[in-house]
Amino acid sequence: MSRFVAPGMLFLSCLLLSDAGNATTLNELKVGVRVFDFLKSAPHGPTPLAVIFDGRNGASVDDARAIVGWVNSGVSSIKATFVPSLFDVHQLDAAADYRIAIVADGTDASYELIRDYALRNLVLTVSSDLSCMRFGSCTVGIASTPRVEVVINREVATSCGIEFSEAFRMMVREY
Amino acid sequence: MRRIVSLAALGLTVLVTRNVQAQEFDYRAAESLFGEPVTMSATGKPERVSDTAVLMKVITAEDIRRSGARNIPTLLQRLGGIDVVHESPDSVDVGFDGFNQVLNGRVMVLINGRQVYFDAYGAVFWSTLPVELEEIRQIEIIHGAQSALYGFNAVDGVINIVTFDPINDKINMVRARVGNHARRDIAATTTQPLGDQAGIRLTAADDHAQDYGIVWKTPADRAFFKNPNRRSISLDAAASASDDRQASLEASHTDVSERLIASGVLFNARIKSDVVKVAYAEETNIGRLSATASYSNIDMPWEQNQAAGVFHIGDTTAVAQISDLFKLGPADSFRVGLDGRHDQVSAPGTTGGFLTSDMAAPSLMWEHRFSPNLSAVNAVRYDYLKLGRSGDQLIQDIFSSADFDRSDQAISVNSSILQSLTEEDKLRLSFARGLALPSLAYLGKLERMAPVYGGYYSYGNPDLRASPVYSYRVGWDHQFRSLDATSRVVLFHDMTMNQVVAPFKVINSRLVQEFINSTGSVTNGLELGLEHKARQGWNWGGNYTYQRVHEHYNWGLRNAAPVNKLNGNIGYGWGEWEADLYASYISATKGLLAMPGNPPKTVVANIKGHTALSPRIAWQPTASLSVELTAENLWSYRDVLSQRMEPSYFLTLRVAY
Repeated sequence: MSRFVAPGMLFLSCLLLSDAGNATTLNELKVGVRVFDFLKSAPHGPTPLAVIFDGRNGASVDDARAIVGWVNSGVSSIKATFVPSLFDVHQLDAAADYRIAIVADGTDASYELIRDYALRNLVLTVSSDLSCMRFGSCTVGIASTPRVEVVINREVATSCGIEFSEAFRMMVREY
Repeated sequence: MRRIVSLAALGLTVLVTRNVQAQEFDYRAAESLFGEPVTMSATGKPERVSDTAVLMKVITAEDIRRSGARNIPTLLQRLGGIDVVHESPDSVDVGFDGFNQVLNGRVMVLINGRQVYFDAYGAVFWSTLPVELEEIRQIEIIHGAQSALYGFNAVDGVINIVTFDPINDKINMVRARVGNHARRDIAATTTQPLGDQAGIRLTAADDHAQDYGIVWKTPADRAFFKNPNRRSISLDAAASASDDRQASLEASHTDVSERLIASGVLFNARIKSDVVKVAYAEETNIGRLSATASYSNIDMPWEQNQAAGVFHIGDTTAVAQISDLFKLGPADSFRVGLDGRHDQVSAPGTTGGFLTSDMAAPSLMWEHRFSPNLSAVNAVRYDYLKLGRSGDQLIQDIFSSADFDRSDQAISVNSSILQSLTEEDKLRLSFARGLALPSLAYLGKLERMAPVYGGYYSYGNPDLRASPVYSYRVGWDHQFRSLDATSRVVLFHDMTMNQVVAPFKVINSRLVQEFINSTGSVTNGLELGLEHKARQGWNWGGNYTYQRVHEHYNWGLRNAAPVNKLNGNIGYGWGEWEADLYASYISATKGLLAMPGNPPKTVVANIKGHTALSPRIAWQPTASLSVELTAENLWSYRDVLSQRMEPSYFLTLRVAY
């Protein structure tokens, strides 16, 4: 069995580490916002969306701006449209009322802040930076190439009181 | 029937007013997220088709649109490992992996999970299915025994037809079709919202053509010409409010007249089918609970058989299913289910009263992910079947009603493994033990053949047992990223034990035919496939199937399945235009024909291999209008001895609104 498990773990490691340091793509954003449809209490209609970035990292700022631009131009889930707002990871108290957030790339120096914010305010955080999910700061990590992958950090989800439908849990990987 | 529909409608209304939610599973949201079809047919749990451990094929709505096909069997015929034989122009039987006989009872067909199997004959009357192609989101095809999920008769495979959701998928269209053989089909579908989160879809269709193709045109044969007519009306409603509860209602009525073939003789029939189904699903603390109840009544008010004369047969079925889907930890998913089914067949003069079967079946499915690249699914189901007969005994009957007071029980299992070898390669291994239950006709009919066919009696046998079927499969999928194409190689080995056969024997100096469990059969085969799908530009694909059937009992058609089958398609889409060509080759086989005589003569003769070409060209000048010219079977061919399929041409106008 170990000869099957070892390549599998290698593949998962590659998956989890592969997108670290890359800007969020449009396809990844589309996957990320569609994940919201599978919450047990999914957002409907116009919904505030926090877009979190690290203001000390220019690439992270650019990524967050691109995300906001795409959302404003119509990237949405089936059930909800989103009203995005930018929040620097160092000033997350201003985002206390938000329930869902997209974490831009380049926030790896501030994962602790993101985790504290998510746990304190029970926020669902989604990111294409899979190491954010692996670190335990983001609830959901996403990838769109070579195929769509959605990975849920169960510990973070449980701590934040986030519940996905049972059907959705059966279609994704849980970490 | 009317009372049941009213109760169901009332139930749905109550659910709607309680602000409850719709659709059993949100295919659209999941497909939109993952960018590929999702399914619940493979294991009973939702999963991406690329993630399922069983060997599955999916015909998508886009495939259907590009096919030019008029009906579902035409779509199935183009897949590897599927055999289709035509009993008449619009009446077909579908078999998997070599079992291509007419009135095939080895394939389980479902519409949104509801079995459409006709227990009395052990067959599916495809033309009675209350669904138009435009309503179909996808058709899911699973090869191999699946009894551990679907019960008796899912032994060669399962076909699940999934329709669009009436809340989220607005299907509004009118379609008219004219063609040779006096074909004139018309259909309309409208989807209406009921508030923000409920919807209803109504569909009506009326199809008509002229019968053609009886090969032996004796006066007796010609009497069985029957123009295929089909009328269908269906309703599909669903309600949705919160995200954790769903309810739906389906109801339909179809009325079909057509010519068929049984045991090599002609018959024609009028088949009326009424169905109602309600379903409810809710996310709870113990998982996703689903409950389904359905009632169907298939009535054949007249059935005229060359050998057995005219009779009436009715079959009512009530089904209740409850299941719980839940996940324990990150790697283990479970489905616990309980199915109940009551079936009653009445055929005055043929069954001597009412034949009944009552079935109860608990089941369990467990999926475990060892790693992101390795998962396994195991399922087990226990079926208990109680047979019964009530009413007056026919004087010629050799069985009393007490002989039918018996039960059968059996266990079926499915086990599959999926190993992702690389990002492009997936290996699937599966083993299954399925159960083929004899039809109620085989268990309890009593027919006296017409004098010209020897006047003998054909007896069902209440002591027949379910036939175990063992299925072994290995499949390898490879993705050619540079070609945007996927290939599949499958090896299969299926064994059927104690197959039901119907030999002649003499009882009390009288020639009789009696159904018995006999020896079995073995099928070995190979399937190869390669396909590339694109909306614009080139679209191509092909598959080849090699199969060898070894039947131990020689009933005339022994080892008759075609050995080689080849399908190919090529198409091109540019702007408003699309052109496609579908071709198939099926190697020689054998056919059986029962001829008048005392005893009746049985003719077994070769059927030549044949090639069929079906081109289409379509023009879509606007998003709502399409015009399509299609030809089917550019050369005549036969796949049974008594029916010749002739070229068909038709023009289809479709308006979506």
